[in-house]
Amino acid sequence: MSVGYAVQILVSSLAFGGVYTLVALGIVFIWRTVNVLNFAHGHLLTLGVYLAVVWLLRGYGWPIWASTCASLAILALVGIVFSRTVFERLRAQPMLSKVVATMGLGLIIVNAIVLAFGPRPHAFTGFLGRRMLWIGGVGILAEHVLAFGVTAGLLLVMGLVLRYTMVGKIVRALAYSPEVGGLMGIPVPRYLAGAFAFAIVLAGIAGMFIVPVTFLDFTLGDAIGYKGFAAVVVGGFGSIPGAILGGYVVGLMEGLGTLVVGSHYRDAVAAALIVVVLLARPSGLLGAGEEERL
Amino acid sequence: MRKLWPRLVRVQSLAGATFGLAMGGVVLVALGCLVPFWIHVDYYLRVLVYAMVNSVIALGLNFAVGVTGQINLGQAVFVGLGAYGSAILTQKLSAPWVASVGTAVLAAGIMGAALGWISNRLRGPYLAITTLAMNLIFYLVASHEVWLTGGPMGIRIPRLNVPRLFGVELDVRVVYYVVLVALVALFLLGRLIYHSKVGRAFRAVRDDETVASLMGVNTVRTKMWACVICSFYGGVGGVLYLLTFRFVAPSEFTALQSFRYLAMITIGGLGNLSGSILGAFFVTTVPEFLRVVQGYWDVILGSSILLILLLFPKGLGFVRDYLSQLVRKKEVEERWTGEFRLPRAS
Repeated sequence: MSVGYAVQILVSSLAFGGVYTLVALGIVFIWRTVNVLNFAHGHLLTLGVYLAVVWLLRGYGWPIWASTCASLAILALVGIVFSRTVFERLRAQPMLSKVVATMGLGLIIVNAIVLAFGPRPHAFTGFLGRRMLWIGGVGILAEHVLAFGVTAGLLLVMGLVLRYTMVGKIVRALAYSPEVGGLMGIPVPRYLAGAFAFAIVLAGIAGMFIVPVTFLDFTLGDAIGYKGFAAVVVGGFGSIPGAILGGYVVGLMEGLGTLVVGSHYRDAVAAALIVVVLLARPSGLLGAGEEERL
Repeated sequence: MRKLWPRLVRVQSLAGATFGLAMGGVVLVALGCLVPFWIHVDYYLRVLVYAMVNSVIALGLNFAVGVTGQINLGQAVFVGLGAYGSAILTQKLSAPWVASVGTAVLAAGIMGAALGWISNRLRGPYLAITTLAMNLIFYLVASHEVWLTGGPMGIRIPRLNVPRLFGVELDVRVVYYVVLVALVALFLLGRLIYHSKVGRAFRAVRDDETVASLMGVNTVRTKMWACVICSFYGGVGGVLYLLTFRFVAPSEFTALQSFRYLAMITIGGLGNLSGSILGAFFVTTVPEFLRVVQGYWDVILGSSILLILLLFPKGLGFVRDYLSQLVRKKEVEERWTGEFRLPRAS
């Protein structure tokens, strides 16, 4: 294996890892604030890409940037409406009911996609097409560099907002305890809806970067969602730095694992990683130990 | 004699039913026995058999999800292990039917135990994630390992390979009775477990794990048993599925199918055993009446789950609670107590 090939695998794995990181961050965000495992996460991601690429870009000929922004806005709206109508009423119910509700949402989304856009897979070349960057004789897809940059930028902005602004402080307070936050005068439902919508928008952005590599297909959500969960488990459940690290670890292991087991079983690598982590170090790489929420 | 009296009382409470309720069950089963004489179209009979097979699977899933509160998103894996296991053993190794069925169910049970053990070493929703991952792996393996599973085309069992039961050819009418007997037996077994010490431990773990462990319940072992029961029922359901359709293909064992099982127990009421039979019949038979809107069925299913969660959090099982209230004139126990939470502050 030449050095160039290794570098290419490394870069594409890092680009994938960044995408998984965004998905995993959304899942952790929802888990910490709304206190639910969002099993519709991958399907919402798929919905966002379908809206941007198949509906607005192909259907109406919008420029790619405009259609992406529009689809992210629609995703945020879906998140807010779902949070205000369903999660709000299920708040007194056990987590199980809310989890089943997210799965119901996922089922509706997948079948709505099939009904609206058909079961045929679509190809999408990404924001920058097949343009390559040549660095020291090694060709790297410009799209991967863009994905890596956007992910890093989003993480930075998110970290700063969470740490230094009032909104960030409120979200952290809600993650600690929604009840106490409510007693302190925070309009809890509004902020929970906002957090849910934000997490979904993160997934939507991730979707725009993952689709150029895989095909756009209505089953995309299953695989992506579960890799997000894998990243969360690998990093340590509920930990935000863990989710970031876990996303990159899953991306790298997938890149390397595919070399070993072949591309048929690409999607199985993350599952094997979950099992290995749960056997060897159940609290994850950066986990704080026992999780008390369930 | 002094020892026997409490024991008799305990047996009665083990069945967990009053006389009226038990009579209602007997009447239902008797009606079920007569159904093949009324329905002459094999297709409709097959739909009913499929609904009963799904009832068995949903019963098991309800033990893990509704009764113990362990979210299992991979019930289709256990069903698939049962179906594929018995198909491969009888077809490729020409093993005797009973032995292959036993092995297949055992394999499903061991898989359940392993998943339960791996996932419950740490408190958290790990089981949901590992079962979801298992489901994807199962689908990948079933579609790619053509030498073993026949790939996407699946395995078809010819008539020759199906055993004769008491010398009778196993056509759909005979299979109907086999599945009916299995369903009744497994339902009664489920009731026994539900009202036994283990069943109380299940419910204690669901309602509050910390309190349960303080009361001396071994929570890890209890959760693992819930997984084993769940996968055992799933494996038996898979064997019955193969008996009914004589055909397995990977597309029947996807994450979507697992979710349909979850939909059955949600519609029937989480933690309500007879409700999950109702839910399984609902999810299996209603699409047959809704042929007009076939493409929209999964959207309807998803929406009805959301509606039921919002309007009747206890599921359609409340119908049975209402009926039993009529019969025994007694407060029905709360099926799902929910957890203690501070009052809402907004």
